[in-house]
Amino acid sequence: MPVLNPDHLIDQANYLVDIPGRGAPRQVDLRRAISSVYYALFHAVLTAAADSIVGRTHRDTPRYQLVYRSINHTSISNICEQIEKTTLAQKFSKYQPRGGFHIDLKNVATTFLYLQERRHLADYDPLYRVTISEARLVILAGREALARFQSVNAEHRNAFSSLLLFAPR
Amino acid sequence: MARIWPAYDRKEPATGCPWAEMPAFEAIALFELGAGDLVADLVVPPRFGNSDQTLSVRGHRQIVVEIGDREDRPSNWQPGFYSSRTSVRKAIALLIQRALVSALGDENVVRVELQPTTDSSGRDALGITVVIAPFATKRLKGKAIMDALASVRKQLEEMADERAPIIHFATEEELVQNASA
Repeated sequence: MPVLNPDHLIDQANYLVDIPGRGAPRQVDLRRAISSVYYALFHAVLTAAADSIVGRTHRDTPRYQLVYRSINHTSISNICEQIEKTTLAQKFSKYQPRGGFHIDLKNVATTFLYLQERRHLADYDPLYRVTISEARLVILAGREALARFQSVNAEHRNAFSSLLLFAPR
Repeated sequence: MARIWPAYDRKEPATGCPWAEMPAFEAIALFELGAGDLVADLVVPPRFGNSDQTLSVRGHRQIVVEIGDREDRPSNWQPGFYSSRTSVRKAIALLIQRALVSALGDENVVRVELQPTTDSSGRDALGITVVIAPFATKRLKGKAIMDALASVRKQLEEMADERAPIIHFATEEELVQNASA
């Protein structure tokens, strides 16, 4: 069973913002674009976590589904808030890779938090007015963050996934 | 590098680390310093307000720039601590704008506005409106945006400001359109 392709969500966002042959995008298109970019990174994180624990060859199993669905938005933001810091809290630091999390992963964490706040406004705040500039920059940042997350050293991504799935005590 | 310190009106003017370090010439321009703003040499840091007071309930009161004796500086400037007339609030905005410009480029950032806000969880946050130049979105790459977000986060961490940055990008024209919508 193929998992959701996050690149397609970013392509969708791009299409919503710059629809060929049409005038300025509607607010609803811009809001959906921001949401799609956030969900691209969100699903990439979930896929990485489930792949690391269950294995990508078991993507069509209920166990994979169980792990995938166990992660929520708050748990990712909590870990991202830790990872992006120069020095991790002691509770988390013993689980980081030797030498600390790679700078790319730290920057992905910062970008995830930015996208999550934008997504929250786009999906729920009636007063929020998305600008075309913002939507375009969100797409640029989201695509770059996705590429970095997928290309970062597997040891670092797996350590991130472990912290995400198993909260340290 | 010149060090940018936030100072209290009390016995110990500063604690922890400086808010930023930058070349002396940049600090002089950014904080609009003059040679006459020297308030102390490097031996004894300056005190402000009531020097018997130990509490800092009123928060940081001023910005002090420390220029070391090895700094590359204008010839008529002495090493020492210089008091800036820039308010603490404005200094925060200047340092955040500097962090953004370092990643996005001077040609893409018009100005930065700060406002207190809350994040999606209801926690105190720092709203940052980045007014970008027209067509900046055509010039900027994803890497620059990510670097800008990280740069702001790092600057806040250096200022020991634990609020999450809530960053919003718009051109001047878009801000006007939104205001009239």
